[in-house]
Amino acid sequence: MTRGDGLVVICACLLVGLSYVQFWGAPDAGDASATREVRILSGGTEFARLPLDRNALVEVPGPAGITRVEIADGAARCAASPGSQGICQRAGWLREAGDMAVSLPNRVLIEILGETKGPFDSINY
Amino acid sequence: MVTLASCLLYLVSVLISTTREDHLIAWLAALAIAIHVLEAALPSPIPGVKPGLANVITVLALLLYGWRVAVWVSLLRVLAGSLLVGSFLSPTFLLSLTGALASLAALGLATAVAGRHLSALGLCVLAALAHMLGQFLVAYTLIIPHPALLKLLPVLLTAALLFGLASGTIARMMYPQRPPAAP
Repeated sequence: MTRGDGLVVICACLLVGLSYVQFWGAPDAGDASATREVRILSGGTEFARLPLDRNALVEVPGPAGITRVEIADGAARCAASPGSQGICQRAGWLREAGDMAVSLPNRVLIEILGETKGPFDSINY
Repeated sequence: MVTLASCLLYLVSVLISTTREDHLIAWLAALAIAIHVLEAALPSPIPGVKPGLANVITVLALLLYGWRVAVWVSLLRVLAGSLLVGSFLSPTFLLSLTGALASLAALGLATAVAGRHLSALGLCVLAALAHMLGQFLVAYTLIIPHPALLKLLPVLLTAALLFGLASGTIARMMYPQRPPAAP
C-alpha cells in the first residue's frame, strides 16, 4: 500500500463515518419533543404556552367553566371540559405538531406547536 | 463504375479497420462484461449493493493503458452488460451508467492529480466510492426523491468502501506497480 493509498483509505473511512453521523445521528425527534410546546388559546387570545417535557395541570377559565389541560409524558390533553359532548376530551393525547383539541362552548383551543408539518392540512368533524 | 466501387470499398475498409488498441479494448471489455453478467446473477441483500468486481478491469485498464482505454472499457461494459442482462435503458441502466461515469471521472482526476502516488488499491477505493455516490445522487434526485433514502447512504457507502478495498486488493495482486505518469 502506498502512502497515497493510505490517504485515500483514511479519507474514505472518514467519509463513511461522517455519513453515519450525518444521516444516522441522533434523530431530531428527541430535540423536537424537547422544544415542542403546547399553546392554549382562550377566547382567541393566547392563555399559555408550555413546554411538553414538563408535566403540568393547567386550568383554563372560559365562558362555560373551567377546562383542565394536562401535560404528561411529552403529550398534552384536555382532561376535563364543561362542553356537553366531550369533543375536547375525545381528541385524546396530543403529541405531534399540529395536533389540537377544541372546546367550542368554553372557547378553548389546545394546540401542539413544532417544526414538523402535520400529516393533515385540516380535519373536519 | 468499378473504380468507384473499389474506392468505396477501400474507404469502408479504412473506416472500419481496427487498431491494436481496439482489440485490447474489446478483450478487456469482454472480460468486464463477463464479470458484470456473473455479478448480476448474485443475490443482493440491499438494493444497490454489488461487489463491483468489473471495477478491477477498469482500474487495470487505466493502470496499463491509460484513462482513454479505461473509459472505453467501462462504457462498453455498461452498454453490452445491460443488453445481456436485459436492463438497457431501464432505471438500473441509468444508475449503472452514472456510476460508471462518476467513477471514471474520479479515476481521471485522481491519476491527473496524484497518479504516481496511488496504486490499484487506492484507485479502486476511489472508484467504488465515486460509483456509489454518483448512483445515489441520481437515485435520490430522479428515481426516489424521498428523505428516507438518505438513511440508506451510510450502509451503501460502507459496502462501497469494503468492496472497493476487496477489488483493490485483487487489482493490486494482478498489477502491483504504480501507474505510469499522468496521461
